[in-house]
Amino acid sequence: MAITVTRQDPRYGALKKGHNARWPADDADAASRILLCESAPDAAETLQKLVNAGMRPTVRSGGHCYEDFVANNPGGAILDVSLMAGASAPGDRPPYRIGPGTQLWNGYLELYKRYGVTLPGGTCGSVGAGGHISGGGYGLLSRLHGLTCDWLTAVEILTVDGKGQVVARRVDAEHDPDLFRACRGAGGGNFGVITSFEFDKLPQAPEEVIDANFSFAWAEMTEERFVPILIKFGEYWASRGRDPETWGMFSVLSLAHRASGRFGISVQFCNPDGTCGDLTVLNEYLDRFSDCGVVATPGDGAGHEGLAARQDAGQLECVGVHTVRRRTWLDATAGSGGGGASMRGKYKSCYMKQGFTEAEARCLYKHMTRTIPGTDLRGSTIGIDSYGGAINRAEMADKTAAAQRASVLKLQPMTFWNDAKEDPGRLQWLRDLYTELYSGPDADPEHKGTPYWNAHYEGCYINYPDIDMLAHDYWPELYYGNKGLYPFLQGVKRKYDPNNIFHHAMSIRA
Amino acid sequence: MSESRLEKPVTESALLSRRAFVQMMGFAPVAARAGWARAMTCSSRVAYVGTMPGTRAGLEGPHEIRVYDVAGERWRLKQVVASAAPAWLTAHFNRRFLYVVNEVSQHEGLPTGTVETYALDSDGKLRFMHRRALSLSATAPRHLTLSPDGRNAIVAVHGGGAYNLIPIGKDGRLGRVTGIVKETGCDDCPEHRHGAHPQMAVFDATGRRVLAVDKGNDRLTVLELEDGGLAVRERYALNAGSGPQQIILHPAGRWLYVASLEGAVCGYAYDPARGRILGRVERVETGAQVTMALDPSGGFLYTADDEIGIRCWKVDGVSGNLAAARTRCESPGAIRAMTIESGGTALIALSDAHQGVVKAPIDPGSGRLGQPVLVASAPGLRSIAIL
Repeated sequence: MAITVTRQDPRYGALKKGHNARWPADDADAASRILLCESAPDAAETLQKLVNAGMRPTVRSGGHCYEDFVANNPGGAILDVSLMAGASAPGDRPPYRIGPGTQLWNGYLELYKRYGVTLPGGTCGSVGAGGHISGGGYGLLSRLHGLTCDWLTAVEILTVDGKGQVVARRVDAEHDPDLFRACRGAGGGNFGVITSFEFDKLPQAPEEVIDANFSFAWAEMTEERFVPILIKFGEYWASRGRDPETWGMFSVLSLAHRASGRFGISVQFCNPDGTCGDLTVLNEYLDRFSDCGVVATPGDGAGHEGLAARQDAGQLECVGVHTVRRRTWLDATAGSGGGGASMRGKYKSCYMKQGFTEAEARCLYKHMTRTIPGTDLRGSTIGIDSYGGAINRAEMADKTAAAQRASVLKLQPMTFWNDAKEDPGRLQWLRDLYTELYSGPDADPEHKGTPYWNAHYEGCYINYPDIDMLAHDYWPELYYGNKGLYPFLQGVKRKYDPNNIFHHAMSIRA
Repeated sequence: MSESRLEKPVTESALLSRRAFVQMMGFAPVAARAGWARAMTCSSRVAYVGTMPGTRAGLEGPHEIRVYDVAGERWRLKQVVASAAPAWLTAHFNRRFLYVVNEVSQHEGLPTGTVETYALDSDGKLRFMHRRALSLSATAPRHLTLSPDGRNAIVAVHGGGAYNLIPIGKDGRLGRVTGIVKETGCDDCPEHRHGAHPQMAVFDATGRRVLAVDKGNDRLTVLELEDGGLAVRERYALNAGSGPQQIILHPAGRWLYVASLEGAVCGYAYDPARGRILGRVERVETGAQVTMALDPSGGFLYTADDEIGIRCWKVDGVSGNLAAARTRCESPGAIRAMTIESGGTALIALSDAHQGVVKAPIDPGSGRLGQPVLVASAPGLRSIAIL
């Protein structure tokens, strides 16, 4: 029986919230209760009671949904599976079973300690597996090993049939394969309550990695110096970065707003075999930025929040003119084990099939140096991740619901703040940036203001949902492409959730 | 339970012929009908008619609300207001506001229907106040009913399979949705219905309970206002596949009448003290696509359908049973909706065939319908409210 937390419970104030402090938007939007489930039968019983009562369930694993899809649920209930966590012991069938409430860092730690394997998942350690994997799930090892959902071999899920009865299913390539495919990347809150993820095999965790960082001071930055940095970064991933021998290298250009003082580039490197004996590829990459007037350092906090925070372990060593840090993969991953403070946040996304054009770089310079009277734009960043590699195995597009399989960069424009009074300025800054960036000469003429699929862009990432995209009637194509995936998902929705029990602003609309 | 008790097939003798009705409708000049028209002039002064021509084959035009002065022989159009799919109109009891249910599936990019609120000027003209989004997934709403105190509204959401409770401010504005009940399909639901499709809801006299029909899951549901929200009190299964689509609560509060797609009107006993449906007390066969209207005294129930026409049924004040009255007129095609003027002096029907509003006087003693006339013309009539 689920643990029930109602408004009278002292835990309610803490548990009604999402990680994004904007949600619930106000008390009237909050769920009437939180139901903490500890097992699949527990979740099934709880879900059935909610359906019988006509209450809307929203499903929460880690609570990191960027938008209000979970925490805003007036009169409804949050079905919380965060206590359904952990990885199973080997010898079972299948070998690896991950609970939906498993926080990524805990999952990495447990899988590594028990079996020496890992998930190629994200760096935000407190993100829950439920939402992360069902939306695709990528991270520092994805260029080497693909998306997390690519490794998925079965899912246990509770659906609600047309009669309102909860049905427990185990879906895989042979059983309800359409639903299984949908659970591999279409995003959470669409089809049911996932109670377990199963993996027949998982990749070995690297033995060790090298960390390196570049840092740039805005005070010394000009547009003419800025543009080549972006172009140089993008060019690598669109060219040399396609070579499999580079797939063990992940790099992120953390483009912080000028108000933050600095921006940076962070790198995590290992060779495809998970070792760091030969650093040729890394050194080649680091040297590309030498004529930008910087050399790599162990990090000063200007780079990726997780990667640059890794200053407490490992050994410094010189690679040519650069100073880098060598450490075990587990130490390195532990550095990004947190989830960050709960703040107000807004996020957008874009997949890029090519590096940056000059027009894009100049647009970014404009907005990253823009000021808005009365709005402090510290905490405003574009995370520009290297992408591609093993992710871009084209055949996986048809096996999963993660359609983007040709991109080399993945952007996450985002801004964080604490005071609700800043909402309008923050949101406007981000919208202005995004709209102008994707209205330039590289944008699809029929879909200005968005990174609609064309030779340059590949839409948006459903795990970075952005309700601003609802202004465009083609928004499903931004997230799921225009090759038939969304109609497929609509069919799955009609079949497995005919009552639309599971819905939010950007859920699949049948 | 059995739903076959007290069936009352209607004899042919009660019918007017189709030809006779069409002649009355189509050829009788307005001047010839002036006598009865004046006789049934009542407290009603203004009519609001919602049109949705694009939703029917062969009809084109904007969705709008047409405001008519109904004092004369033929209604006089005094205002036209653009509106998004005005599927249902409900005037507030205080005659100051009109609520318009927009049968849309998306609003500002979100999957939800909406309700518009209009203020009524002294001459009945509309002034737009605001448009309130329903809950997420509450797509394609069909009906809105007000609580007896006028402080709450319940919206039956056809597409999204749900009911929404919305508080109403003293200024007539609709507040945020405070109560949601999400319905599902049923064990014996026809496959093609795809789950729940609430059609209509009515408050009982307590003002705390709501009786609702769902043609998707063939249910009657009793809802209750509770702590500012909405909760299910009882679900009452009707015949599988019957498709209930309209509900009327008798003024006595003890019987409710349900019109179904299968071509029947059933009466059910209701216990207002406990909020329980006690069972079926009546069933009369009708043609398909039946719609109903009950006169304000509760003495006569009128039904209209595609096959037989408009009929009058006398309501037994003790049992709630229906007896066919000897008044009947064949309908020229589908009647989209019917209502009765507040004084009970005339039946108002939206006629698809005539693409207009038809008005027939009612004899208050016998319930007999007089000669109907076409009082207004507009394509794609869908909804009506009369003050």
